Amino acid sequence: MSNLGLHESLVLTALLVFLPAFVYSLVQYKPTKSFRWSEMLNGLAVLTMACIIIFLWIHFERPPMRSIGETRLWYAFFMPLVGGITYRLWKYRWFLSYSLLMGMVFLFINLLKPEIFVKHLPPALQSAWFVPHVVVYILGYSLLAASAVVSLYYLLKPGKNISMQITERADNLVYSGFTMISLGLIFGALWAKVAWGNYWSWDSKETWALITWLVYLIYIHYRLRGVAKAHARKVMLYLVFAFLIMLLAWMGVKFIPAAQNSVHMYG
Amino acid sequence: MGALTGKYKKGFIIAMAVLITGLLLDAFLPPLARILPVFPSNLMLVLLLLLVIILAGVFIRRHRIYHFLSSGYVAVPAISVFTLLIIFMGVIPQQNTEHAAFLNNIKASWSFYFAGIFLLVILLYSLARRMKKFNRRNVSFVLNHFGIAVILLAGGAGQTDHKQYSMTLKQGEPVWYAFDEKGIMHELDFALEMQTFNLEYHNPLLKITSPEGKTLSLVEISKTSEGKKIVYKQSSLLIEKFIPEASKLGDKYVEFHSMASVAALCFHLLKDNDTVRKSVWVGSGSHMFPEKTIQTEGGIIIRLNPPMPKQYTTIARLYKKDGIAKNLSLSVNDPAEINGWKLYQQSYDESKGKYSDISILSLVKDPWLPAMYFGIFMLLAGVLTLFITDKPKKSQHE
Repeated sequence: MSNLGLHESLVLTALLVFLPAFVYSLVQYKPTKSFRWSEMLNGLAVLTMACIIIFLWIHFERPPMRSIGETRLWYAFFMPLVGGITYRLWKYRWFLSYSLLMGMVFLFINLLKPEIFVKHLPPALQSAWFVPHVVVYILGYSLLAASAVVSLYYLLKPGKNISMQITERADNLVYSGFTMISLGLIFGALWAKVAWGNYWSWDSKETWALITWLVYLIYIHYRLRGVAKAHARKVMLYLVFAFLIMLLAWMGVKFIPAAQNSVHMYG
Repeated sequence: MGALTGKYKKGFIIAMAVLITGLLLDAFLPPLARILPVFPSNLMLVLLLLLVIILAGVFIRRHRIYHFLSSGYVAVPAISVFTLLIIFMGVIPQQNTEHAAFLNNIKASWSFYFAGIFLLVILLYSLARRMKKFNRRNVSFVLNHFGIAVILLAGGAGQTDHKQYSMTLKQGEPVWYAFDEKGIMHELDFALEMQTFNLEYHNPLLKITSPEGKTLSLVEISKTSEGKKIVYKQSSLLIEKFIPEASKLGDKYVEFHSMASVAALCFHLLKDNDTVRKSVWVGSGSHMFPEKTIQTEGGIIIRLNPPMPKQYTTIARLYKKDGIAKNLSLSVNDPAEINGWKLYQQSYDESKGKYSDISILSLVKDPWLPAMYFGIFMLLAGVLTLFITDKPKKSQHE
């Protein structure tokens, strides 16, 4: 069996655990006692990924963190892990489904583009900070994306009798997402100091990540006073705007002329 | 409601006044960070600034402006103005100029410093108000806001003390100087002499592509691959010989160690019944030898990707003025420290690869780093406490 074949079968095994866990978390979306099962299946997904990582570690006699595809296995391990913890802490039912789905997306990318499993990491990315930095950002971005979805729902729903609970839900998502991107920013700064010598170099990616952070910081400070229903539309519109800024920071930076010398460009 | 928006309006007017004052100064004066003094005068300035803010706070503490300055009504405008400047920074190409550069050198500009000091005032006043009725729920608030205040101070004042030089080491030649970004030479209080430069490569990858450009197989090739079979579609190939460093000789490759050498692989293309059909070579390219790929009758392309750098390390001899000499190792993500300088492995002569006879280091001196780390770790602790202690607002449906 070639190395791609070994990887393929491991990823397929993982997907066979993730898929039922994901489907079950969706089916059991309504509050029932059996939601515990969903947590257990989620735990099983975490365990499977842990086993795969340990197996590869022993098999290759090195930590499986050398290629882009291998780091994706770590994302797929951390997504349901942090998803499960977040669920325990904050009781977002959908979050279990969400993190499982994200984990599956990473596994699928590995399956569809097997070459990234062997594509090597450049020296600067070979650091213990790589996985935590990326994982908290993925989680933060997904929570903030969810807050934008909630705001869009508020904005597009016809009729005026919309519960203010929706804005509350958006708030909670922003708070937890903001916590995550704060961690991502800090981890990034600590890593940059070790790799490049400066915790902050005003690299375009850094600048736009800071802008995203500040845009949500403004939102959080504005919401301190609470918001009257009359202003709710504006506030929800702001969250959609903030999400667009986040997308720009995440994927659009390479199209900005001021960003042509960014150190964050990796093929 | 009217009073509420009125208060925000007032906050925005103050924040805009701060911004416009800064922008006016930026239009005519050199960037503020360029005329700020270096240590210890900048530390004095920081202490003076803190003293002024605290004294002013004591003086106005019973006035309603104090309450206003420590409220969200002015925090939102202050953060907005700060954000606006950073958005400019993200859109307008920035340069490190010494003369007046309106919006082209924002991180050093008057407006940026003014916006930062305005934020600092608000942070300190709101901290003072929170600390008065300090309780467990305030821990996260205090850590976050105090952390950011420290980061603003250390970042703002430390800009003038931050030094970054580039140093090119050569084999057998002690170097005791480095160059700043303007190309000006600076003498150092130590010298480095490159002993060895060690570039470790990842194993090269053998890539088999279909005529449509789809990757059929991508396999890491090393010495242990010899004798192994790689299966792709209906065909397969048997690896006979791998030479990590080779030179081309006619249709073949032979072992050859030089900066021009390439990775080369010999294999047999097998048919269904495994009878040896043909023995061929592929080789990655260098500036001397062009890449050699194989195209099978079915249009399948087989090529050997050049090995990518995995890690590079410089072993250098360090000479200090007090006569101490010792060896030092530097790799990417693994810096070293000498006399207050942090040394980072940055680059090498990429055209020569592992035979590079130079190693380029980056030297950074940042005396404000401990203060900055103090702020960063405070913020980190604040974020983590937030994560643990803060429960979301509960709605009845949850």
